[in-house]
Amino acid sequence: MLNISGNTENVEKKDIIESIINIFNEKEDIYGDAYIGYPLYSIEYTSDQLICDLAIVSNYGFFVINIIDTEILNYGKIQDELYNKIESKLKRCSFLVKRRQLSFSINVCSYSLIEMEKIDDYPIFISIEDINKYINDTLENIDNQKVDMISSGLQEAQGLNKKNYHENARDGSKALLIDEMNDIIEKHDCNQMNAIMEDPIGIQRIRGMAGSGKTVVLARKAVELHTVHPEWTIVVTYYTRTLKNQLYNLIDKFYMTRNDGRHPDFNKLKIMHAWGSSSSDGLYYDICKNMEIQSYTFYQAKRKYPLASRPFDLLCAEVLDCGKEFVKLYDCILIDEAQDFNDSFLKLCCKVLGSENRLVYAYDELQRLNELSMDSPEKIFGFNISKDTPLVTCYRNQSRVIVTAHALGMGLYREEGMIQIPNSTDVWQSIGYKNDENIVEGLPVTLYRDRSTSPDFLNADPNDLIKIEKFDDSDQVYNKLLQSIKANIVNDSLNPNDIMIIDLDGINASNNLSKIQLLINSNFDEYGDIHIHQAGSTNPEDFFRNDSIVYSTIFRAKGNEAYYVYILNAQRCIETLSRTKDRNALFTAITRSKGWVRVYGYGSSMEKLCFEFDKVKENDYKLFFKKYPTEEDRKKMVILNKDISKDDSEALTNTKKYIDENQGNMEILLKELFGEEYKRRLRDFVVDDEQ
Amino acid sequence: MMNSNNKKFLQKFSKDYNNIIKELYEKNMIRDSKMHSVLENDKIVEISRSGRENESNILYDKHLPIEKVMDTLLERKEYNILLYDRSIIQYEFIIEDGKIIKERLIFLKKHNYLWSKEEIIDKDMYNFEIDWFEEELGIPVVIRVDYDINNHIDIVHPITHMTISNYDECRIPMMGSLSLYNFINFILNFFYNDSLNFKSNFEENDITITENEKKRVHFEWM
Repeated sequence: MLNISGNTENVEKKDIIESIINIFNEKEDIYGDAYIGYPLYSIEYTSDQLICDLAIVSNYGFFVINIIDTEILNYGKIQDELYNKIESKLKRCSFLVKRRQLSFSINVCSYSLIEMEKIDDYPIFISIEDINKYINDTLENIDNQKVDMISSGLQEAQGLNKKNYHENARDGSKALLIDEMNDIIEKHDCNQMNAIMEDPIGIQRIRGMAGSGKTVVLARKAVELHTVHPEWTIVVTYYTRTLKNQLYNLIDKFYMTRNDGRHPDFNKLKIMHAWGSSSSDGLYYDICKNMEIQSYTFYQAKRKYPLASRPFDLLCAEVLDCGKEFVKLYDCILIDEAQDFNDSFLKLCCKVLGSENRLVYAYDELQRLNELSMDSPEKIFGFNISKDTPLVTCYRNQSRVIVTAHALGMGLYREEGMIQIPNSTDVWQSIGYKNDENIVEGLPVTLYRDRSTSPDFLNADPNDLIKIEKFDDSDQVYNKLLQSIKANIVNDSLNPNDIMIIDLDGINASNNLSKIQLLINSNFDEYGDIHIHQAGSTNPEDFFRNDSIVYSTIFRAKGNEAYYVYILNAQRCIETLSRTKDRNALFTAITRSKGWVRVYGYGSSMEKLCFEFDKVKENDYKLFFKKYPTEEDRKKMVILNKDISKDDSEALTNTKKYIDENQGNMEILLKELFGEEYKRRLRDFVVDDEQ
Repeated sequence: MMNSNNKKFLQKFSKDYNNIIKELYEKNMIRDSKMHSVLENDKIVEISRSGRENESNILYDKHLPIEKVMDTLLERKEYNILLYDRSIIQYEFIIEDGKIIKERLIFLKKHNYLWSKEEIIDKDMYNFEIDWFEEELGIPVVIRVDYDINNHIDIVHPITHMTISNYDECRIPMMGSLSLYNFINFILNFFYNDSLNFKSNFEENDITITENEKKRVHFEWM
């Protein structure tokens, strides 16, 4: 079956297109893609866009079909234009050219719904039988790999991946494996193409898991819209500030590829933070300015709503309720990582888009494993939307890595029982899991991933992808980290920016990094060439550096990815008072990896994590539920694993501080906490623990 | 072959540097540090920042607000030591025959407020989307110590002097060249209520102040 991207509103054309696609689908071992209504631009000829009604790239040949439904003078001219534009695009891909010529034919023909005068050498058909005959007479054998290459050329998808080739990489090194992976032909899958090409009138939702290409799709969509409508004001917005450079680079690169090297007009295609800061524009500030209402900076908002954990939500709600009439300020708004916002921001965006409501939002469906990240569109906007694309294929993580992340994140194999599970069974399918039998609550269920949703482009030893190791203490962990990084540089030929270190020890992360720096300094001959910097040292955008390895907390690591990920202090996620939050952190940390993951920790908690990982391996990297939790089980799970409240957590911190400061009064303090029998209680506790 | 006095100077300097860095890390005062570069020829040794760019001259631009100056320096990582509150420390020395012939020491702090390490960690951790450093307002601290033996004009341009802010005419005479140790200690003493706990490997001070310069308000230390 051909993968189909795009759509047409024209019913007559639609019928013909379906019939032509069927001609191909009936062929043996058909492989390839069909593009419906694919727009082509090229200023070499004209700045107008030319719509290609149907392009079929298949192992039976490359066909471009123009469908005529109104009287035109010279259909041959359209065929010429289609041919020239497609040829000039494909010729830019060196992998498609042999001796200055394309290494395959572009077969352009027309199908007419009305009577037309035939022009010599320009094939035109008025019946399916005729076009079927033409196709069969013109067939060309193209191998599947080349089919993908042609599709990539037609999509102009080159440059999707950041290519950082490793010069002087040693034979058999990990760096070479990375380079090989990056050489794989870059192509949008048909879900991504559909999300890009979807008609933008009305609200569009793009959802998928981490690494499914949401940001890429959003950036490309912004570029398509800006190309067709350069006069539109389009806003691309986000909340995580490290995303800014990524969005900017993607948009610039895609636009240049699509538009013969020209840069986008960033006055019309605006990339701005949702809130903004004192030095940079933000969407919220811009809306307030245009509506002539007061806007608040972060600190003003904190003063106004001192108890709110996210004052931004309240600011947006305030604008919504300001009583002023909303006018159209922008033609289209695209929101990345929309799960970072609550409803009020999305509603606010909708209000300033006029009646067309061109709002596109992309979000991570399962950022936390215990709840869906966003409400249904109906709940957010008060009406349902028809444009909804799930991106089911995960390109970032290797399948073993992602399954491990889900298993550990849920605590699936935890001896004391699971910690959390998504509250809907449908979600598994939309993030690319397969199940041979229906998921029935209370019965055994096995979920797994296959190549269709986890293509595993990295040709690495699967047993080496993820390792979880337990050490005696933090010193051992840091020593192991440095030894391992040294090996990454020397043996694996990796660059510092291929590596990311994530410390799950939250508040102590920067002190831990100081300890590592001291260790480097005291072993300067051995580790002197290892440079590590704290994420966000100089500014919020400071993450990867060419000459230094990034050391990050989980908060800052969100939205970033690296080939080799070290996770430190994983023991902190196991026996804690905020189990769900901490397990989610571990899940997010593991899913930062495009290749390898090493999870390090120490103490008895780490033993438990190793046990869970052993079970993941025993189950052959599948999610095996002995008994898929029922509604009742889920409710119990939620109650059992409720995270400690903010107030309690603060009380605990204060108690710790108090104890530290009052070491001299320890006995009185213990009596106060545990009563007169404090010695017995403490003794019982110690004996219990030792047993 | 490197001049033996230069070699001795460098050995002492490296010891001091290592101890400073060690102690600052132990105090959790460092956000980032960049090892200095050492450029040698037969007579002269230059100790500078690796990857130093001319844009650091932005510091002398009188028409720029502190935000722009700070952002540019941070963006280009123009520092030797970046303290936990993103204050910048820069140093450069030129050594001839074991003696400093030129030095420039700079301390740049955007806010006239001392946050504790815990406060900064808290801001970094929980409100990192909105950058505290950018949003918090304050009056900047800019201190520069220059030592230039070749451009001495009595009283007007003392060999060693301190400039406050980037006001050209401000050249407060100093007793003599300031070692890295003394400079860091000065910053810790007066801006962070702290001090270095080890003893410097440089014992003597190189006195450069003139009798006329001594008659005015000047800096002197033991």
